[in-house]
Parts: sequence; C-alpha cells; structure tokens
Amino acid sequence: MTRNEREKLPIPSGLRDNIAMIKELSGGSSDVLVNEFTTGGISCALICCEGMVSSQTAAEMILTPVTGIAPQGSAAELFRYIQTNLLLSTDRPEAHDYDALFRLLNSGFAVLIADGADFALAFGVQGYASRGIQEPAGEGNIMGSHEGFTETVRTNMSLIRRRLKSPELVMELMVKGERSRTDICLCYMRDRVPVRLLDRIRRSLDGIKLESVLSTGYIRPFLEKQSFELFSSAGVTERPDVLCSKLIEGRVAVLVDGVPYAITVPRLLCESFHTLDDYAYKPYYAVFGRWLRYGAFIIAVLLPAVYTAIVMHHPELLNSTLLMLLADAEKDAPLPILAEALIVLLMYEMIREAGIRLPKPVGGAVSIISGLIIGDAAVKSGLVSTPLLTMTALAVLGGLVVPDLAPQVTVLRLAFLVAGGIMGVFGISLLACAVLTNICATEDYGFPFTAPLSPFTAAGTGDTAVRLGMRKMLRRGFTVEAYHEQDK
Amino acid sequence: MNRISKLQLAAIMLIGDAFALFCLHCGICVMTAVGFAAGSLIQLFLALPLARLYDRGHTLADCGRAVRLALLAYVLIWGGSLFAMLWQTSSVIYIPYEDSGLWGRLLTGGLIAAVCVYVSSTGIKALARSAVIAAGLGAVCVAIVVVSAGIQSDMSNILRPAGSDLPRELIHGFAASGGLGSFVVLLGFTDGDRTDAAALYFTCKAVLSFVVLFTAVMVTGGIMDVLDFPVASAAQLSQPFPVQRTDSLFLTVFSVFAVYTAAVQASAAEYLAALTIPRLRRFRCTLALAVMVAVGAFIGSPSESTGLYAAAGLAALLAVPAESFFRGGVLKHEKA
Repeated sequence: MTRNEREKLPIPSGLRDNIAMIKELSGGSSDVLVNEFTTGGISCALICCEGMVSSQTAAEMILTPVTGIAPQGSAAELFRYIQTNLLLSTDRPEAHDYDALFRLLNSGFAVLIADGADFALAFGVQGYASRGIQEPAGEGNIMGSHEGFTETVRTNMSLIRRRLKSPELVMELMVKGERSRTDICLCYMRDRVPVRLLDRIRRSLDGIKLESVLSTGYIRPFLEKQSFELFSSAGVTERPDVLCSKLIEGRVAVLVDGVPYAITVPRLLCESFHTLDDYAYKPYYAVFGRWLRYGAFIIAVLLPAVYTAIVMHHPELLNSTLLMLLADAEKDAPLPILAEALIVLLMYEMIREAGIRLPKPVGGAVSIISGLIIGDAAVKSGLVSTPLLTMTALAVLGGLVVPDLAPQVTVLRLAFLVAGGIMGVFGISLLACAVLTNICATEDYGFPFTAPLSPFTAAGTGDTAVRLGMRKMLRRGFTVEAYHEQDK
Repeated sequence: MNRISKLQLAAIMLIGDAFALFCLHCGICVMTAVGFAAGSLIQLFLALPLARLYDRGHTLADCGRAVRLALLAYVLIWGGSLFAMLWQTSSVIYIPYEDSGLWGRLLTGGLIAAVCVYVSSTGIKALARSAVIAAGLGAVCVAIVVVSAGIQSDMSNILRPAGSDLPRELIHGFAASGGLGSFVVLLGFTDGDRTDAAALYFTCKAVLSFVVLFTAVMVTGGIMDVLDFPVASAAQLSQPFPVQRTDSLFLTVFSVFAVYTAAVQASAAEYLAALTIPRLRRFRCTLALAVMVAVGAFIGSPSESTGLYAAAGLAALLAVPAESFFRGGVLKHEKA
C-alpha cells in the first residue's frame, strides 16, 4: 500500500493501532507530540505538532477541562460530551481519515483520539510564530492605512473582514499543493462579482496540480492565459484596503497562506497607475499625479532609446545648441552610444539586484558606493558621457514611479534601446507596434487588459483619464463587469 | 468568433488610407482633395448593398470560390503595392540601412513583415484594439503636422491652376483605396448595423483625405512640380518650431501605419485563404506576407496604373452583392 493510499485510510477505533499508524505516517518525526492520558475512564491521546500550537492555550483550554471529565460509557459518549458540554475552542472540526488528521495537525490544531473512537476531534489552538502586521514595503501610501498583509492567511482574512463588514463578503478556504497542503482563500463580494468570472476562476483553481504552493507566482500562471503575455493579467497587492476596493468593484481575490500578497483577477493596465492616495486628495491633484505616472512610464521605457536613436541616426532632429552640447560631451567617449547606454543600464540593474539580495545594511552601502563612486568615476574617466547618464537616470527614476510595472519596464527599456540604437525611430516604432499588440491581446476571462482605453468604455474614463469627485464616482455604481467583452 | 466594433473597423481602415496618402506619388491640387473626398462618398454608396447583405446574415463563406479567390488576389496585390509604396517613399524619409541597395530594402520589408506576422497572429480582436490606440496616437501626430503646416501654408495655392479634372481625381482616389478588399472581409466581422459602420468609415475617410491633401497642397503647392511625394514632403516642410524639427513624429506615424496596414492585409488574406484553400492549414499569414513582399518587389505603386487599381477596387466592393444577386436569380429560376 502506498503512502497516499494509507493516508486515505479511515481512522481505526483502537488507540494503539491509531498511534502506531500516526507515528508510521509521520516517519517518527520528532515534532509530532503524542500525549497519552486517561479521562472519563477511557484511554486517549492528544496529538499536536511542536511549535504549531500554543502550549499555554492547549493546557488551559483543552487538557485541564478534558482530563476532569466524569466516567463515560464509551469513546463515542466521551466525544459527544466534549462536543456538547465543553467549548474548548471556536474551531472544532472532526477528522475521519489520516489525510484530514495530518492536515489539521500541520495547521496547528491539537487532535484528540480515544480508544474505541473511529474519528478524531481537533481543536484550533494555533500558536505558531508569525510576523505581525506591518506597513507594506512595496506599496507606499501617505493618507491611507498603514497595515499590510502578513504571511498568515487567517490574519489576512481578518484584515479584509474588518474593512468589509458586509455579509456579502464571502471567503472560501481550500487546500492546494499535494505536499505543502497550503491554505488558499478565494474572496469575493457575492452581490458584485460576475458569476461567470467566479465560475471560471474556480475551474482554474481546480485545475491546479502542484506539489507545493510557496508564493503567489505558483498560482498566477493558472489564472492567466497560456499564451505569451508581457504584462500579467492577474494583479498583486499587499494592502488590505486596496484589495477591498477591488472586491467592491467585483473582482475576485486569492489569498495564499505563507505569502503577504493577494492575487486579484481581473487586472487592468490602468490599475498600475492608481494609488489609494488618489482618492484621498482633491481630484485635480489626483489627476495630476495620475498623468505624471503615465508620463513617467513612457519616459522610463522610451527615453534612453529615443535619445540613442536621435543621436545615432537622426541628429537633424536636434536643435543646433543641443547638438553642439551633445557632440562636445560625446567626442571623448570611447564607445558607441548604444554600447554606453547598455553598459549604464545593465550596471544600474546589477546595483539594484545587489541592493535587493544583500543583507539590508550592506545593500544600502553597496548602492551608495556603486551609485556615487562607480558612476562618478565612469563619467570622469570619459567612459560614459554626462548627457547619457542623465537620460538613463531620468528613465530609471521614471520606472520607480510605477513599481508595479518594474519587470516590464526593465525589459522593454533594454529592448527599445537596442531597437532604437540599430534601426533608429523606425526600429522603435516597429517594436512599439509589437508591444502594443501584445498588450492589447492580453485578456483573461473576457476582460481586455487595455480597457477602458481600447475597447473604449466611456464610463471607465471617470477613474482612469481623470478622477471624478467622490460623489460622482459613487453614483456610477461601477463594477468591473462594465469592461467585459462577451464572446460572440 | 472574433468580432470588432464599428469604431475599430474605422480605425483599422483609416490607418491604411492614411498610409496610402502618405505614400501618394504624384502631383496634387485642390481638385485632388475634392476628388478623393467625393470618391469616398461614392464608395460609401457602393458599399451599401454589401452592408445590407451582411446585415441579412450573408457571409463570405456563402460566396462562390471564384469571388473569394478574386478577393484574395486583390488583397495580396494591394499588400504588395503597400510594400512597393513603402520602399519608394523611404527615399524621402530616412530609415537606417534603407539606402544600402537591395539588402537594405529587404531588411526594411523583412522587419515590417516579421512584426506583421506577430501582429496578425494575435487575432483580429487584438489587432483591432491596438489599431484604435495607434490610430488615436497617429491622429494626434497628424493633427500636429497639419496645424504646423497650416501656419506655413500659402492660401494662394488654392488658386493655382488644377493639373487635373474631377473624374480623373475620382479614379485616382479609387486607385488609392486598395484597402477595400480588406474592408469587404472586415465588415463581415463587425458587430451591429453594418450600414452604420460603413457610413462611419467612409465619412471619416472623406474628411481625412480632404484635410491631409488640402494641407499638403497649401504647403507644397508652389513646388509641386519638383516633388515626388507631396504629402510626405509637406510633413517635412512644416515645422512648428523655429529651432526644433518634428520629422520624427511623421516617421513614427509612417512606420506604425505601415505595420498595421500590412498586418490588416495579411489578416484578410489569411481569412480568405482559409475559406478558399482549406487544405492550406498552417503558415497562411506568413505565406501571405511572403507573397506580398514578392509582389511588391515586382510591381509599381498604384499611382502608375490608376485605372486598373480603381477598377479592381470597384469590383471588390460590388463582387459579393453582385454574385449574391445573380446566384439568387439563378436559384429562383431553377425553383421556377
């Protein structure tokens, strides 16, 4: 009999056999603790996973009341007494096979088995160490909440529930990953979510066959189309307030235990340019901020490429003063401008990568040393010209304005640079066509990624091209279904 | 099935028309602008039977093989003409390596064809969506060029003696409307009332043709005799700022429109090939583009044989309704 088949076996009524099977299935793992005792005249065992339960809670809420039970006729009567007369914990599932028993055990439940009982009682007394709620690191915000998701899915569920106290908010827990048995929570607003979207996402999640789910990246590919898409059509957020706003708009969210991020579906391109602060400030300032981000994105992707293309292939497009300045700056540079630009951009990417991967104190120092010393030395030695460095720095700065699109900006910037350097504005235009088409082809569950720009939806422009006042926004009663393109 | 909106149809088709205008290779006058605009309205009139037929549920699949084959040939030949126009026009627009003889031309054509293969492979929906954005950006760039050209225009050019008469310019306008083959295909994919869709497209086309050609005449009227490509030259001559050139806008629009125009022809050819030659299952789009590039290498631009192209355009618009009419007549006769 294979291990999987043994796990599916029903729990036997004999305590000795039961304990022996648990020890065998756990491979004698030293963190599986079996505490045998007798209560109500029946031999029992309380099994838990060391470090996963709160010892104090288990002792106070389970062991103390359970050990004081008066004699009972059988194990079934003992369990019935515990179920009906003792409120040991709010979460009290039953396990009828070893698969369920081990899932509960590994989720921080204390499991009670008794001689003569063919099922186990579990008590939620989780007490594992977890990170507290902290400010999100990647989605900065001035006027909104400073709480971010944590690694514990139940804490994240509570963060959402605290903000949406509506009974329409539904959270469905499921388990994914044959080995990791990771808890996954599907969240949606019952009265807002398009039914077809929910059904299709459920089907997508049902299709997940993974050994483990260790990050959102394991789930996202199953929620997206299989064709090559530059931009991801499933969004990610680490802010409960942002997630709540998406749920209210009829989107579906997936929380993954062990990951402080939530996946949202569908995602639109325009969402990457929205921040929660847009709704905290006056509309005119929000519109300014939004267009600043649109512009920054364009600069981040295209500025080095356009600069290189113009200097290398279309110098007639520069006015004479600028041309003289550039000619003066570039005359001593030993490398072609394309090579210079590539070196500077790749150098920046290496510094950024080093800053992320190294321990924080060292990472900061590396960034400063690289930026100041290497950058300054490169310019002074004439390896890199000042105008090029300025353009690159501006482009990098532009990319930082839209952190959500950082991977795409990085790759596209380099691709456009090569196209512009080799084929000038013509090359940039050709690549732009391909990229634009790829973005427009991105569509999941019938929601075009480029909505409401193309296909154009007038109702959607109120919160994309501009930001209407809050009263007008609320009057719209917008849900994401407005963007759905029916398959005809 | 993939469907497109009437706005998307108009955007896709107008990109092709704008590209044909940019590549116009002949002397133009105010009468040309009037002729092209009037020609568009006549085309609308001629397209109405086709639109009504589609509205009644007729599709290209219901047509005879000969009609589909003729349409396919027309789409491929016009696609080839687009490449020919691109290579001709690039003599006045700087494209790197274009002037390095045959290899330069092949590189330019090959790159455009490669992008077209990708663009077409994403399907008509993605193509239509991206065409709307490209057309929007193109409209902004063209507006900038037109406004800056307007500042430098010479109104006396209106009074210059017209080198041509209206009938000739009407034929000229028809010849430059080679996208009518793909229009016949794409109208079948359009949602809603096809008559409305056709009206929107041809009205926009009339306005676009008139504005672009009229502006070009205003700017280049005095030196028309020495210009090969009046619209492209007008864009280069009209600079809004005294110290800063804006040619790159025109080059960008030109390249983007070239890609979309060829991609639309390739998609239309792919669809027609699927209907007409069902045995050809793979690489239809790549094959269509290869044929277009090859055709482009051997034929000239439509300006060199306007009568032929005009007649082909006219036939493309009328072929499907005419065939349906005659076939309907034959069936009735057989039933009787």
